[in-house]
Amino acid sequence: MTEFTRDYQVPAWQLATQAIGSAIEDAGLKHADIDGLLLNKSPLAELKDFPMEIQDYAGLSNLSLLSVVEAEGSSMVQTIQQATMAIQSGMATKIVCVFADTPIQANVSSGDAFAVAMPMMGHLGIEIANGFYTPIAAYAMAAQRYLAAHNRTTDDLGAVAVSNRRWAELNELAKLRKPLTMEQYRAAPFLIEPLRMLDCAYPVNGAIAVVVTGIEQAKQCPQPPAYIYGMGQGHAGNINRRGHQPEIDTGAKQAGEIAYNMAGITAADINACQFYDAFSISTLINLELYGLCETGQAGEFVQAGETSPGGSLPVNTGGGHLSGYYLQGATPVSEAIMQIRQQATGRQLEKLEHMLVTGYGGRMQFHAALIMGQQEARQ
Amino acid sequence: MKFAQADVIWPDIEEVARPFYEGMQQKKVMIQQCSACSTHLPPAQIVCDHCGSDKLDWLEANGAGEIYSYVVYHRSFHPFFDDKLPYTVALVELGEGPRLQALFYGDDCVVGMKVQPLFTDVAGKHTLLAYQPAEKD
Repeated sequence: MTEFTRDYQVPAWQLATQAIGSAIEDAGLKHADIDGLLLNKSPLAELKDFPMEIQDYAGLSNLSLLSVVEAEGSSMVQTIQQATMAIQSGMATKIVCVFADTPIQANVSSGDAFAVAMPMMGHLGIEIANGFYTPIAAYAMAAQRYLAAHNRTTDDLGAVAVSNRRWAELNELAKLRKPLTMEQYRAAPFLIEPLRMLDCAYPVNGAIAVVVTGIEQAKQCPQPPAYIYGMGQGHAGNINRRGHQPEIDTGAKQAGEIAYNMAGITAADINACQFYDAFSISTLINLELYGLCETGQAGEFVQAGETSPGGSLPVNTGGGHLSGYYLQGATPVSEAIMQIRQQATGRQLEKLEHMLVTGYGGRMQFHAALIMGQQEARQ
Repeated sequence: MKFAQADVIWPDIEEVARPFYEGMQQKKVMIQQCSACSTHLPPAQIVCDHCGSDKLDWLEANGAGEIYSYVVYHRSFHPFFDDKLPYTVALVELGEGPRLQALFYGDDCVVGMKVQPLFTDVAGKHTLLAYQPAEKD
C-alpha cells in the first residue's frame, strides 16, 4: 500500500509502481519471481495515468500473464479471482494485482471528479437533460426504492454510517475518525435525498497491491497467508420495467451463492464482511442479498449494533469507504488481508474462519465475491 | 458522459434513441415493443431482454404511470440547475410496464403516486417529458 492522501502528489501509475514494489517485498519475493500482473484501472482514470506500461515502470519483464481487468468497482476482486484461476490452470505462479487512482487532482476536487451524468437509461441519454448527475443520484434512487419497499426510514442508512465510523475510530489508516452519532447524522443536510454526504464514500489518492500465489509458495512467504475458499460473480443486468427491480435486486445474490457453494459453506458460516460500500444503502442491500439478513431487516440489524465493534457480524472493520478510505475494490480487499494476517491494529477480530469480501461496480450491476480465511484446511 | 460546457444540458442523441426524442417534441411518450413476444420495453433498447429478439417496434404509450422511485437534489452539480434547487428526478413506471426517468414537478413526491406527463420547454430549444401528479378522477 502507498500512503492515502487528500491532495495530488504523483500520478496513478507511479502510485501503482510503489504499491507493486511494496507487495513483492512484503511477500518475500524478488521482481524476477513475478510472472503475472493484473491491473485494476479506475473507471475515472485516463489511460495515460494507468497504462499497460506499468509493467515496465515496475520492472517486470518476465510475465506470462498480463491484463487490464475492467469490471468497474468489482474489478479488484475480479483480479484476484482471475489470478487464482491462472494459478490453478498453470498459466502463472506469482501474480501481482494492483489498483491505483488519483480522483483528487491539483485543479479537480473529489466532488467534481465524480460529478458526471450517470447512465441509468442506457442509450437513451436522458440523464443529462434531467440533471441526473453523479453516482450519488443512482444510489439515492436505489435507497428511496429500498426504504419505500420495506417501509423504513433514513435511520437505516444512518446506522450504517455510524457503524462504519465506530470502526474507523479504531483504525489509524481511516480518514474520518471523529465520533458520529445518529443525532448528528439526522441533523446533517440532504445532498441528494434520501442520501446525505455522510452516506457517501470518502475518496483518497493511493494504491494497493496484493500478491496471489499457490498454497505451497504462500507458506514460504514471511507473512501469514490469506486463503481463498470460494469465489463468485453475479451480473443481473439493468432491466427497467415492471417485474424487475435492478436497483435493489442485484447480482450480489448470485455472486454469494456461487462463492458459498464453492467454499462448501452457507451464509451462516460467515464471521465478518468487507463490502464495497461506496454508499450506505449498498451495505443494507448486500447484507440481505448475501443471505446475512432477511429482506428488509438489515436496517434493524445494523441499528442493533450487530455490524459494529463487538457485534455478532463485524462489517467493514476499517471504516469502509464511508469513513475509512475510498480506493474502490481495493478497500475491502486490503482490510480483509490485514484482518486475516492479524495486523488490524486496534480493531483486530478474533474469529476469522470465513470472511466475505465483495466488490460491485456501476450502479450495483456488477458483483464479485471472495470467501477468505486464516486456515488452509477448514474445520 | 462528462459535461464540460456550462450550456450543455441536452444529450447527443444516438440513432437508437431518436424516435423517443422526436416523439417527445410532438408531446408523445414513445416506448418499444418486442414483435416476437409482445413485451413492452423502455426506449432505446437493441434486443428484447425477455426473449432475445432484435425485432423491436416503436409505439406511443398512454403516458400515465406511477412513481417507482425518486431523488431530490439539494445541491446542483451543473450551472443550469443552480437556480432550480431543490428539484426532483423520478423513475416513472408506465402503465405498459417500462420505466422512464423524468423530472417531477409538484409537492411531495411519493413512491406509488399516480402521475401524468407534463411536457416542458428547455431553453426555448427542446421539449422535455416531465411528470406531475395525476388529476383526481
